[in-house]
Amino acid sequence: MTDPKSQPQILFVDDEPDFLRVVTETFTDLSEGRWQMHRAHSADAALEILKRQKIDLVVVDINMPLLDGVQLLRILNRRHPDLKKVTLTGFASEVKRNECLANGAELFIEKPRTAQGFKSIFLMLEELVTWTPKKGFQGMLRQVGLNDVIQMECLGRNSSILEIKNQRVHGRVFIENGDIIHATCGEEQGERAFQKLLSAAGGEFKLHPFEAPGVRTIEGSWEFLLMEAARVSDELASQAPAEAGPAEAEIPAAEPAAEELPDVVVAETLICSPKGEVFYAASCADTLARVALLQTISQQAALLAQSLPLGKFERLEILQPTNRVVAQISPDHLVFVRVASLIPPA
Amino acid sequence: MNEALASLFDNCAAAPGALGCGLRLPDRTSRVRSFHADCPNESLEKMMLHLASASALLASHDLAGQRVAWTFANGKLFVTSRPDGALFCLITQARTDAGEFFDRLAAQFAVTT
Repeated sequence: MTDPKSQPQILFVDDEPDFLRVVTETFTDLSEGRWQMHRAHSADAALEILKRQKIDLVVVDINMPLLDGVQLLRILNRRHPDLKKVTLTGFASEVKRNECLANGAELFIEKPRTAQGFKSIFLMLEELVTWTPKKGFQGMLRQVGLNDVIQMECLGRNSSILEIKNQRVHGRVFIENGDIIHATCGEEQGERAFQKLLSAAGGEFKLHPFEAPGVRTIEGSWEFLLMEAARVSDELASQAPAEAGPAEAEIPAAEPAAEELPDVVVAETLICSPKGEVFYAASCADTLARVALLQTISQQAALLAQSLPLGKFERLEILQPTNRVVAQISPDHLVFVRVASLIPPA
Repeated sequence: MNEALASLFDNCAAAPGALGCGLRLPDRTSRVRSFHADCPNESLEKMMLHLASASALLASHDLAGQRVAWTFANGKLFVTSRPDGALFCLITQARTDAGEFFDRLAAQFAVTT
Protein backbone atom coordinates (compact mmCIF):
# COMPACT_ATOMS: atom_id res chain seq x y z
CA MET A 1 0.00 0.00 0.00
CA THR A 2 1.28 3.52 -0.81
CA ASP A 3 2.31 5.59 2.19
CA PRO A 4 0.03 8.70 2.10
CA LYS A 5 2.90 10.84 3.43
CA SER A 6 5.02 10.09 0.36
CA GLN A 7 2.16 10.60 -2.10
CA PRO A 8 2.17 13.83 -4.11
CA GLN A 9 -0.67 16.02 -2.83
CA ILE A 10 -2.47 17.67 -5.73
CA LEU A 11 -5.17 20.28 -5.32
CA PHE A 12 -7.57 21.08 -8.17
CA VAL A 13 -9.54 24.31 -7.96
CA ASP A 14 -12.49 24.66 -10.34
CA ASP A 15 -16.05 25.88 -10.02
CA GLU A 16 -17.34 23.22 -12.45
CA PRO A 17 -18.17 20.18 -10.28
CA ASP A 18 -18.39 17.80 -13.27
CA PHE A 19 -14.97 18.75 -14.58
CA LEU A 20 -13.51 18.56 -11.08
CA ARG A 21 -14.92 15.06 -10.63
CA VAL A 22 -13.70 13.85 -14.03
CA VAL A 23 -10.22 15.33 -13.70
CA THR A 24 -9.61 13.97 -10.21
CA GLU A 25 -10.92 10.51 -11.09
CA THR A 26 -8.93 10.39 -14.33
CA PHE A 27 -5.69 11.52 -12.72
CA THR A 28 -6.17 9.13 -9.81
CA ASP A 29 -6.45 6.32 -12.39
CA LEU A 30 -3.51 7.55 -14.49
CA SER A 31 -1.32 7.85 -11.40
CA GLU A 32 -2.47 4.38 -10.34
CA GLY A 33 -3.41 5.80 -6.99
CA ARG A 34 -0.04 7.44 -6.38
CA TRP A 35 -1.50 10.96 -6.39
CA GLN A 36 -3.55 12.10 -3.43
CA MET A 37 -6.20 14.34 -4.97
CA HIS A 38 -7.94 17.27 -3.28
CA ARG A 39 -10.81 19.28 -4.75
CA ALA A 40 -11.93 22.84 -4.13
CA HIS A 41 -14.96 24.45 -5.82
CA SER A 42 -13.78 28.01 -5.13
CA ALA A 43 -10.71 30.05 -4.32
CA ASP A 44 -11.89 30.36 -0.69
CA ALA A 45 -12.23 26.60 -0.34
CA ALA A 46 -8.74 26.17 -1.83
CA LEU A 47 -7.23 28.57 0.69
CA GLU A 48 -8.97 26.69 3.51
CA ILE A 49 -7.50 23.38 2.32
CA LEU A 50 -4.05 24.93 2.08
CA LYS A 51 -4.29 26.04 5.72
CA ARG A 52 -4.67 22.48 7.01
CA GLN A 53 -3.01 20.31 4.33
CA LYS A 54 0.47 20.35 2.80
CA ILE A 55 -0.03 20.56 -0.97
CA ASP A 56 2.69 19.94 -3.57
CA LEU A 57 0.92 21.23 -6.65
CA VAL A 58 -2.18 23.32 -7.17
CA VAL A 59 -4.02 23.40 -10.48
CA VAL A 60 -6.26 26.44 -10.76
CA ASP A 61 -9.08 27.19 -13.18
CA ILE A 62 -8.82 30.75 -14.45
CA ASN A 63 -12.50 31.54 -14.89
CA MET A 64 -14.18 31.35 -11.51
CA PRO A 65 -16.77 33.67 -9.96
CA LEU A 66 -15.86 36.09 -7.17
CA LEU A 67 -12.15 35.45 -6.70
CA ASP A 68 -10.87 34.30 -10.10
CA GLY A 69 -7.82 32.17 -10.88
CA VAL A 70 -5.43 35.06 -11.42
CA GLN A 71 -6.42 36.68 -8.13
CA LEU A 72 -5.99 33.32 -6.39
CA LEU A 73 -2.54 32.95 -7.97
CA ARG A 74 -1.51 36.34 -6.56
CA ILE A 75 -2.56 35.26 -3.08
CA LEU A 76 -0.86 31.87 -3.41
CA ASN A 77 2.31 33.50 -4.65
CA ARG A 78 2.37 35.71 -1.57
CA ARG A 79 1.31 33.16 1.05
CA HIS A 80 2.83 29.99 -0.43
CA PRO A 81 5.77 31.06 -2.62
CA ASP A 82 7.21 27.53 -2.81
CA LEU A 83 3.96 25.94 -3.94
CA LYS A 84 4.00 24.76 -7.56
CA LYS A 85 1.16 26.37 -9.45
CA VAL A 86 -0.47 25.51 -12.78
CA THR A 87 -3.37 27.26 -14.43
CA LEU A 88 -5.99 25.47 -16.47
CA THR A 89 -8.46 27.19 -18.73
CA GLY A 90 -11.09 26.45 -21.33
CA PHE A 91 -10.49 29.79 -23.04
CA ALA A 92 -6.78 30.43 -23.49
CA SER A 93 -5.62 33.89 -24.46
CA GLU A 94 -2.17 35.46 -24.55
CA VAL A 95 -3.24 38.21 -22.16
CA LYS A 96 -4.40 35.68 -19.55
CA ARG A 97 -1.35 33.53 -20.09
CA ASN A 98 1.03 36.43 -19.56
CA GLU A 99 -0.93 37.47 -16.48
CA CYS A 100 -0.68 33.95 -15.03
CA LEU A 101 3.04 33.60 -15.73
CA ALA A 102 3.68 36.99 -14.19
CA ASN A 103 1.82 35.84 -11.07
CA GLY A 104 3.88 32.74 -10.46
CA ALA A 105 2.21 30.03 -12.56
CA GLU A 106 4.67 27.41 -13.73
CA LEU A 107 2.42 26.32 -16.60
CA PHE A 108 -0.62 27.65 -18.42
CA ILE A 109 -2.58 24.77 -19.94
CA GLU A 110 -5.78 24.46 -21.94
CA LYS A 111 -8.38 22.14 -20.48
CA PRO A 112 -8.23 18.70 -22.07
CA ARG A 113 -11.12 17.48 -24.19
CA THR A 114 -9.97 13.98 -25.05
CA ALA A 115 -8.55 11.00 -23.19
CA GLN A 116 -5.19 11.63 -24.86
CA GLY A 117 -5.38 15.26 -23.77
CA PHE A 118 -5.87 14.19 -20.15
CA LYS A 119 -2.92 11.83 -20.47
CA SER A 120 -0.66 14.54 -21.92
CA ILE A 121 -1.51 16.91 -19.10
CA PHE A 122 -1.06 14.17 -16.54
CA LEU A 123 2.47 13.52 -17.87
CA MET A 124 3.29 17.23 -17.73
CA LEU A 125 2.00 17.57 -14.18
CA GLU A 126 3.80 14.44 -13.08
CA GLU A 127 7.06 15.88 -14.39
CA LEU A 128 6.38 19.12 -12.58
CA VAL A 129 5.40 17.55 -9.27
CA THR A 130 8.55 15.41 -9.14
CA TRP A 131 10.88 18.34 -9.75
CA THR A 132 12.86 19.48 -6.75
CA PRO A 133 12.86 23.23 -6.23
CA LYS A 134 16.30 24.79 -6.18
CA LYS A 135 17.16 27.19 -3.42
CA GLY A 136 18.09 30.69 -4.48
CA PHE A 137 15.87 30.56 -7.53
CA GLN A 138 13.14 32.74 -6.10
CA GLY A 139 11.35 34.58 -8.86
CA MET A 140 12.69 32.15 -11.39
CA LEU A 141 11.40 28.95 -12.82
CA ARG A 142 12.20 26.23 -10.33
CA GLN A 143 12.98 23.43 -12.70
CA VAL A 144 16.09 21.29 -12.82
CA GLY A 145 16.93 21.47 -16.49
CA LEU A 146 16.70 23.90 -19.35
CA ASN A 147 15.66 21.11 -21.72
CA ASP A 148 12.81 20.24 -19.37
CA VAL A 149 11.55 23.81 -19.34
CA ILE A 150 11.64 24.08 -23.12
CA GLN A 151 9.96 20.70 -23.44
CA MET A 152 7.19 21.73 -21.05
CA GLU A 153 6.59 24.97 -22.90
CA CYS A 154 6.46 23.20 -26.25
CA LEU A 155 4.27 20.33 -25.04
CA GLY A 156 1.91 22.84 -23.52
CA ARG A 157 1.82 24.73 -26.85
CA ASN A 158 2.71 27.84 -24.91
CA SER A 159 4.13 31.16 -26.00
CA SER A 160 6.94 32.60 -23.92
CA ILE A 161 10.44 33.99 -23.91
CA LEU A 162 13.06 32.04 -22.01
CA GLU A 163 16.01 34.12 -20.88
CA ILE A 164 19.21 32.17 -20.24
CA LYS A 165 22.20 33.68 -18.52
CA ASN A 166 25.51 32.49 -17.15
CA GLN A 167 29.07 33.81 -17.07
CA ARG A 168 29.66 32.89 -20.70
CA VAL A 169 26.38 33.31 -22.54
CA HIS A 170 23.31 35.47 -22.35
CA GLY A 171 20.43 34.97 -24.71
CA ARG A 172 16.76 34.35 -25.25
CA VAL A 173 14.65 31.59 -26.79
CA PHE A 174 11.30 32.60 -28.27
CA ILE A 175 8.56 29.96 -28.13
CA GLU A 176 5.28 30.67 -29.89
CA ASN A 177 2.36 28.25 -29.57
CA GLY A 178 4.76 25.44 -28.72
CA ASP A 179 7.14 26.13 -31.61
CA ILE A 180 10.67 27.39 -31.10
CA ILE A 181 10.75 30.27 -33.57
CA HIS A 182 13.75 32.40 -32.69
CA ALA A 183 16.82 32.48 -30.47
CA THR A 184 19.50 35.04 -29.76
CA CYS A 185 22.84 34.59 -28.04
CA GLY A 186 25.10 37.62 -28.13
CA GLU A 187 25.27 38.54 -31.81
CA GLU A 188 24.24 35.07 -32.96
CA GLN A 189 20.70 34.24 -34.04
CA GLY A 190 18.75 31.15 -35.03
CA GLU A 191 19.71 27.53 -34.48
CA ARG A 192 23.37 28.31 -33.77
CA ALA A 193 22.31 30.66 -30.99
CA PHE A 194 19.87 28.04 -29.67
CA GLN A 195 22.59 25.39 -29.65
CA LYS A 196 25.02 27.72 -27.86
CA LEU A 197 22.47 28.48 -25.19
CA LEU A 198 21.73 24.82 -24.62
CA SER A 199 25.44 23.99 -24.56
CA ALA A 200 25.94 26.40 -21.70
CA ALA A 201 26.51 24.45 -18.54
CA GLY A 202 24.85 25.89 -15.46
CA GLY A 203 23.43 29.35 -15.08
CA GLU A 204 20.01 30.76 -14.59
CA PHE A 205 16.91 30.89 -16.69
CA LYS A 206 13.78 32.90 -16.41
CA LEU A 207 10.44 32.70 -18.20
CA HIS A 208 8.97 35.93 -19.57
CA PRO A 209 5.63 36.64 -21.25
CA PHE A 210 5.82 36.27 -25.01
CA GLU A 211 6.52 39.23 -27.28
CA ALA A 212 6.83 38.70 -31.02
CA PRO A 213 10.53 38.86 -31.97
CA GLY A 214 9.88 40.55 -35.34
CA VAL A 215 11.89 37.90 -37.13
CA ARG A 216 11.65 34.11 -37.33
CA THR A 217 15.03 32.40 -37.55
CA ILE A 218 14.14 28.85 -36.54
CA GLU A 219 11.95 26.30 -38.31
CA GLY A 220 11.42 22.63 -37.62
CA SER A 221 10.12 20.59 -34.73
CA TRP A 222 11.22 21.31 -31.19
CA GLU A 223 12.03 17.62 -30.56
CA PHE A 224 14.52 17.69 -33.40
CA LEU A 225 15.99 20.99 -32.22
CA LEU A 226 16.50 19.63 -28.71
CA MET A 227 18.03 16.42 -29.99
CA GLU A 228 20.26 18.36 -32.37
CA ALA A 229 21.30 20.72 -29.58
CA ALA A 230 22.11 17.70 -27.40
CA ARG A 231 24.18 16.23 -30.21
CA VAL A 232 26.07 19.49 -30.76
CA SER A 233 26.59 19.87 -27.03
CA ASP A 234 28.08 16.36 -26.92
CA GLU A 235 30.34 17.12 -29.87
CA LEU A 236 31.51 20.37 -28.33
CA ALA A 237 32.19 18.67 -25.04
CA SER A 238 34.35 16.07 -26.76
CA GLN A 239 36.03 18.43 -29.28
CA ALA A 240 36.56 21.72 -27.47
CA PRO A 241 40.02 22.23 -25.95
CA ALA A 242 40.09 22.16 -22.17
CA GLU A 243 40.73 25.90 -21.87
CA ALA A 244 37.91 26.90 -24.22
CA GLY A 245 34.36 26.60 -22.95
CA PRO A 246 31.54 25.29 -25.13
CA ALA A 247 30.34 28.79 -25.95
CA GLU A 248 33.57 29.72 -27.74
CA ALA A 249 33.79 26.52 -29.76
CA GLU A 250 32.66 26.37 -33.36
CA ILE A 251 29.10 25.14 -33.71
CA PRO A 252 28.66 22.66 -36.56
CA ALA A 253 25.96 23.53 -39.06
CA ALA A 254 22.66 21.93 -38.19
CA GLU A 255 21.14 19.30 -40.41
CA PRO A 256 17.90 20.13 -42.19
CA ALA A 257 14.93 20.04 -39.90
CA ALA A 258 13.08 16.77 -39.57
CA GLU A 259 9.48 16.44 -40.65
CA GLU A 260 6.99 18.19 -38.41
CA LEU A 261 5.04 15.82 -36.20
CA PRO A 262 1.67 17.29 -35.30
CA ASP A 263 0.38 17.03 -31.73
CA VAL A 264 3.16 14.96 -30.31
CA VAL A 265 4.15 14.05 -26.79
CA VAL A 266 7.42 12.71 -25.40
CA ALA A 267 6.22 9.25 -24.46
CA GLU A 268 9.38 7.71 -23.09
CA THR A 269 12.85 8.89 -22.06
CA LEU A 270 15.86 7.03 -20.73
CA ILE A 271 19.41 8.19 -20.10
CA CYS A 272 21.97 5.72 -18.81
CA SER A 273 25.69 5.12 -18.70
CA PRO A 274 27.31 2.70 -21.17
CA LYS A 275 27.51 0.23 -18.29
CA GLY A 276 23.77 0.46 -17.73
CA GLU A 277 23.56 2.77 -14.73
CA VAL A 278 20.29 4.66 -15.13
CA PHE A 279 20.67 8.44 -14.80
CA TYR A 280 17.10 9.34 -15.74
CA ALA A 281 14.03 7.41 -16.82
CA ALA A 282 10.54 8.66 -17.55
CA SER A 283 7.56 6.56 -18.62
CA CYS A 284 9.72 3.51 -19.42
CA ALA A 285 7.54 0.42 -19.05
CA ASP A 286 10.63 -1.78 -18.75
CA THR A 287 13.77 0.20 -17.93
CA LEU A 288 16.09 -2.80 -17.88
CA ALA A 289 14.92 -3.89 -21.34
CA ARG A 290 15.50 -0.39 -22.70
CA VAL A 291 18.98 -0.25 -21.18
CA ALA A 292 19.79 -3.63 -22.74
CA LEU A 293 18.43 -2.40 -26.07
CA LEU A 294 20.63 0.71 -26.00
CA GLN A 295 23.68 -1.36 -25.18
CA THR A 296 22.90 -3.77 -28.02
CA ILE A 297 22.32 -0.90 -30.46
CA SER A 298 25.76 0.39 -29.50
CA GLN A 299 27.28 -3.05 -30.21
CA GLN A 300 25.38 -3.41 -33.51
CA ALA A 301 26.56 0.05 -34.59
CA ALA A 302 30.14 -0.98 -33.85
CA LEU A 303 29.69 -4.06 -36.05
CA LEU A 304 28.26 -1.96 -38.88
CA ALA A 305 31.17 0.46 -38.58
CA GLN A 306 33.54 -2.50 -38.96
CA SER A 307 31.91 -3.44 -42.27
CA LEU A 308 32.19 -0.02 -43.88
CA PRO A 309 34.28 3.12 -43.24
CA LEU A 310 31.37 4.88 -41.58
CA GLY A 311 33.24 6.54 -38.71
CA LYS A 312 31.85 7.23 -35.26
CA PHE A 313 28.24 6.21 -34.61
CA GLU A 314 25.99 9.13 -33.72
CA ARG A 315 22.40 8.06 -33.49
CA LEU A 316 19.64 5.72 -34.59
CA GLU A 317 16.29 7.13 -35.68
CA ILE A 318 13.20 4.99 -36.15
CA LEU A 319 10.13 6.35 -37.83
CA GLN A 320 6.90 4.43 -37.16
CA PRO A 321 3.32 5.40 -38.06
CA THR A 322 2.70 6.88 -34.60
CA ASN A 323 6.15 7.00 -33.02
CA ARG A 324 9.52 8.49 -33.64
CA VAL A 325 12.39 7.01 -31.69
CA VAL A 326 15.88 8.40 -31.32
CA ALA A 327 18.70 6.44 -29.68
CA GLN A 328 21.87 8.42 -29.19
CA ILE A 329 25.12 6.74 -28.20
CA SER A 330 27.92 8.80 -26.64
CA PRO A 331 31.06 7.60 -24.87
CA ASP A 332 29.67 8.61 -21.48
CA HIS A 333 25.93 8.18 -21.85
CA LEU A 334 23.20 6.51 -23.90
CA VAL A 335 19.89 8.23 -24.59
CA PHE A 336 16.56 6.78 -25.70
CA VAL A 337 13.64 9.09 -26.53
CA ARG A 338 10.30 8.04 -27.96
CA VAL A 339 7.98 10.73 -29.23
CA ALA A 340 4.41 9.67 -29.93
CA SER A 341 1.97 11.36 -32.25
CA LEU A 342 -1.42 11.95 -30.68
CA ILE A 343 -3.09 11.90 -34.06
CA PRO A 344 -3.84 8.41 -35.41
CA PRO A 345 -2.24 7.59 -38.77
CA ALA A 346 -4.38 8.22 -41.84
CA MET B 1 18.32 -10.29 -60.12
CA ASN B 2 14.85 -9.79 -61.55
CA GLU B 3 13.80 -6.68 -63.43
CA ALA B 4 11.92 -5.11 -60.53
CA LEU B 5 14.88 -5.37 -58.15
CA ALA B 6 17.27 -4.14 -60.84
CA SER B 7 15.00 -1.11 -61.31
CA LEU B 8 15.04 -0.46 -57.54
CA PHE B 9 18.84 -0.56 -57.51
CA ASP B 10 19.01 1.72 -60.56
CA ASN B 11 16.85 4.23 -58.74
CA CYS B 12 19.13 4.06 -55.67
CA ALA B 13 21.99 5.42 -57.75
CA ALA B 14 20.12 8.72 -58.08
CA ALA B 15 19.77 9.22 -54.30
CA PRO B 16 21.62 12.26 -52.91
CA GLY B 17 25.10 11.16 -51.82
CA ALA B 18 24.42 7.49 -52.64
CA LEU B 19 27.33 5.19 -51.73
CA GLY B 20 25.67 1.80 -52.13
CA CYS B 21 22.53 -0.23 -51.56
CA GLY B 22 21.55 -3.73 -50.58
CA LEU B 23 18.69 -6.17 -50.28
CA ARG B 24 18.30 -9.14 -47.99
CA LEU B 25 15.64 -11.49 -49.26
CA PRO B 26 13.41 -13.77 -47.18
CA ASP B 27 15.59 -16.75 -48.20
CA ARG B 28 18.47 -14.94 -46.44
CA THR B 29 20.37 -14.29 -49.65
CA SER B 30 21.64 -10.79 -50.34
CA ARG B 31 21.96 -8.55 -53.37
CA VAL B 32 24.13 -5.47 -53.18
CA ARG B 33 25.35 -2.71 -55.48
CA SER B 34 28.20 -0.31 -54.84
CA PHE B 35 28.26 3.29 -56.10
CA HIS B 36 31.55 4.25 -54.46
CA ALA B 37 34.99 2.68 -54.13
CA ASP B 38 34.81 3.00 -50.33
CA CYS B 39 31.84 0.61 -50.30
CA PRO B 40 32.94 -2.56 -52.10
CA ASN B 41 30.42 -5.34 -52.60
CA GLU B 42 32.09 -7.64 -50.05
CA SER B 43 31.71 -4.96 -47.35
CA LEU B 44 28.12 -4.35 -48.34
CA GLU B 45 27.35 -8.08 -48.07
CA LYS B 46 28.79 -8.10 -44.56
CA MET B 47 26.85 -4.99 -43.67
CA MET B 48 23.59 -6.59 -44.81
CA LEU B 49 24.26 -9.48 -42.46
CA HIS B 50 24.71 -7.15 -39.49
CA LEU B 51 21.69 -5.10 -40.52
CA ALA B 52 19.57 -8.25 -40.59
CA SER B 53 20.47 -9.07 -36.99
CA ALA B 54 20.03 -5.42 -35.92
CA SER B 55 16.59 -5.30 -37.58
CA ALA B 56 15.56 -8.52 -35.84
CA LEU B 57 16.66 -6.99 -32.54
CA LEU B 58 14.60 -3.83 -33.12
CA ALA B 59 11.58 -5.88 -34.21
CA SER B 60 11.79 -7.88 -30.97
CA HIS B 61 11.37 -4.54 -29.13
CA ASP B 62 8.45 -3.50 -31.39
CA LEU B 63 10.77 -0.96 -32.98
CA ALA B 64 10.75 -2.06 -36.60
CA GLY B 65 10.09 1.09 -38.58
CA GLN B 66 8.99 2.25 -41.96
CA ARG B 67 12.30 4.11 -41.95
CA VAL B 68 15.23 3.27 -39.70
CA ALA B 69 18.28 5.53 -40.07
CA TRP B 70 21.69 4.71 -38.60
CA THR B 71 23.74 7.93 -38.62
CA PHE B 72 27.51 7.78 -38.44
CA ALA B 73 30.09 10.55 -38.83
CA ASN B 74 30.83 9.57 -42.45
CA GLY B 75 27.71 7.83 -43.63
CA LYS B 76 24.06 7.14 -43.10
CA LEU B 77 22.21 3.83 -43.52
CA PHE B 78 18.50 3.98 -44.31
CA VAL B 79 16.75 0.67 -43.73
CA THR B 80 13.23 -0.63 -44.19
CA SER B 81 11.82 -4.11 -43.85
CA ARG B 82 8.80 -6.03 -45.10
CA PRO B 83 6.57 -8.44 -43.17
CA ASP B 84 8.07 -11.35 -45.16
CA GLY B 85 11.48 -10.55 -43.64
CA ALA B 86 12.96 -8.86 -46.70
CA LEU B 87 15.23 -5.92 -45.92
CA PHE B 88 16.29 -2.98 -48.07
CA CYS B 89 19.12 -0.57 -47.28
CA LEU B 90 20.50 2.59 -48.88
CA ILE B 91 23.87 3.96 -47.81
CA THR B 92 24.52 7.66 -48.33
CA GLN B 93 27.07 10.23 -47.29
CA ALA B 94 26.35 11.59 -43.81
CA ARG B 95 25.69 15.21 -44.62
CA THR B 96 23.12 14.66 -47.34
CA ASP B 97 19.41 14.50 -46.72
CA ALA B 98 18.13 11.47 -48.58
CA GLY B 99 15.27 10.68 -46.20
CA GLU B 100 12.43 11.60 -48.51
CA PHE B 101 14.16 9.99 -51.47
CA PHE B 102 14.54 6.80 -49.44
CA ASP B 103 10.85 6.87 -48.52
CA ARG B 104 10.00 6.71 -52.22
CA LEU B 105 12.41 3.81 -52.70
CA ALA B 106 10.93 2.08 -49.65
CA ALA B 107 7.47 2.41 -51.17
CA GLN B 108 8.78 0.78 -54.35
CA PHE B 109 10.48 -1.95 -52.29
CA ALA B 110 7.25 -2.68 -50.42
CA VAL B 111 5.52 -3.80 -53.61
CA THR B 112 8.53 -5.38 -55.35
CA THR B 113 8.57 -9.17 -55.58
